[in-house]
Amino acid sequence: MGGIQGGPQGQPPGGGLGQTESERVGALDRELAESLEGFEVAMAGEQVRVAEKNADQRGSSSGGGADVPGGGYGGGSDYPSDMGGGGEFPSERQSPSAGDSSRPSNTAGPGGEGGSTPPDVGDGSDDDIVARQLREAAQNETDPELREKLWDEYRAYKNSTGR
Amino acid sequence: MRYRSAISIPLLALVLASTGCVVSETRPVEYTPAKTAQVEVPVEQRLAITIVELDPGIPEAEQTAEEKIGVPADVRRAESRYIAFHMKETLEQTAQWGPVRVVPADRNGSELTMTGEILHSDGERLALDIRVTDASGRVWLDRKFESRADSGTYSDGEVMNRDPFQNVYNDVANALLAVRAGLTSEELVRVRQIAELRFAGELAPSAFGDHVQEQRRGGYQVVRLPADGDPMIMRMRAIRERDLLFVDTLNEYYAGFYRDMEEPYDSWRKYSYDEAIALRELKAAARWRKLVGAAAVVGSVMMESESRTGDLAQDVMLIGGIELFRQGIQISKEAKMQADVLAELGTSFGQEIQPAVVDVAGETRRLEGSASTQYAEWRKLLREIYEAETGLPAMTEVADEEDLTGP
Repeated sequence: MGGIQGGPQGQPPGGGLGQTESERVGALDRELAESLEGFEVAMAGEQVRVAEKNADQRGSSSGGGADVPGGGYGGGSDYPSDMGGGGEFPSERQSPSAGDSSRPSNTAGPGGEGGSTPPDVGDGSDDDIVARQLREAAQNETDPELREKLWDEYRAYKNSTGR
Repeated sequence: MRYRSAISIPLLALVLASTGCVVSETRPVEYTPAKTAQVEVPVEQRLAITIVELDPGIPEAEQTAEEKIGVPADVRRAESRYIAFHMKETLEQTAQWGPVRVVPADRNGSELTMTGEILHSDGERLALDIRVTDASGRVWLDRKFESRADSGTYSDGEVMNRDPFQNVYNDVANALLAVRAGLTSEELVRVRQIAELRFAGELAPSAFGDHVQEQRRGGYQVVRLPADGDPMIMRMRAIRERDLLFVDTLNEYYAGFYRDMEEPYDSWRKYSYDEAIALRELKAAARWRKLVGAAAVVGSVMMESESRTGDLAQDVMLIGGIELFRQGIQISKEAKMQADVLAELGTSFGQEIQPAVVDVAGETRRLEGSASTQYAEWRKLLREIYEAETGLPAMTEVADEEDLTGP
């Protein structure tokens, strides 16, 4: 972010010889103002970015930028790279409520070869978070007694939620 | 037939004691609303509140953390941000305060700072240790807040609009209001001045370092105020505004994390609440059967009979006692499996939420790192302006060059 300032680093702006005190203060003030403005733009860019990210994670199709405080700035492409441009951002995380397709939903756990999923429990495509966790726990459980208990819990939970 | 009552009475008392504790935990929790402003609150009372991410209270030896805190460490780390943000939402909804912001670490220049530790948190009970101090160092709150879950909020697999532990948050909000009510307008204005001057003193020590004095007994006092229209204070205020903009940006990340966590966290809490209740009932039932069974066996052995009817009763009692005891052991086994289910669910939820925790922590650190570079440059500019305006050499702070934390 240090690079967003207007003036050269480590050198008085316009600091030529013969400059009066008030001229020097004026130049420094301008440098400060430019720096503050640059920071504002960078923060606005961050806010647009996080709003877009939050909207993406919720599967929303609406753009996030319009609701961001201080909106009206140029958007993500204008902020300096050291504020963390799009390219630097780590890959998007999976939303806890999304991303089932990437999850190995029917992976059999150790010792469980396909047959560890009882036929009456369906494919789990309409599972919510708790059901999904119970299902995975049951699929990965090696103790047959506990595995059956987990499937019972799964069935009971699914019945209680009416799915 | 005669019984040796000296044995059976203590056993019976033990049985009753062991079964009596279940019902009390599920009784309804009375809702305590937060006091919201009915008219506009005067500006001097609307102090800004900074909430530092809560200390998750994870023991140093993380390997044993789950055993000690009852949930995986990842769940607790997520909660440290979730609870802080929910506290912000609660305080904002009361309309009693200025802006409420969550920050990763304590920040200089805050008017009111809330810190805290999660003492206990699961689907059944929340206990927080909360401390609130103002910029002058006055301690507003320093105590434990706790509540059992309002089980009415867990309904039909969905948590109603209210958090199951909303009482804890509302109690904190109401306690803060009570403290504020005991302070004069002048005292509140002074808090705001000290907050600003402490921020200024750190940013430009040459210009503002002597405006506030740290007291020997702790706390801060205003020594002098800057003149109205002082250009240096105007510059400092411009920087402070950007500092708040930076914190607001951090809060966008926290907000995203909070919204993402809300639904799975509510589901997990609701389910773990049901499971914990079921587990406790199973344990109590197992204990009851074992104790009564054992009492019956002991009683039958010690029974003195003088007739065939008495012998028969003795045999029935012995067999019944053994059967009850056997059932008790079986139920204990079920309870153990129930506990395993609960633990697996916690682990799974922890693994699910962990990437989001890492993400929000990474984003806040990245932004803080970038901002600290910027603050160092602003400090340098202010120092140069001070020197140009006064002709005096400004103090050179090591912090200017090395410190990577913002004001």
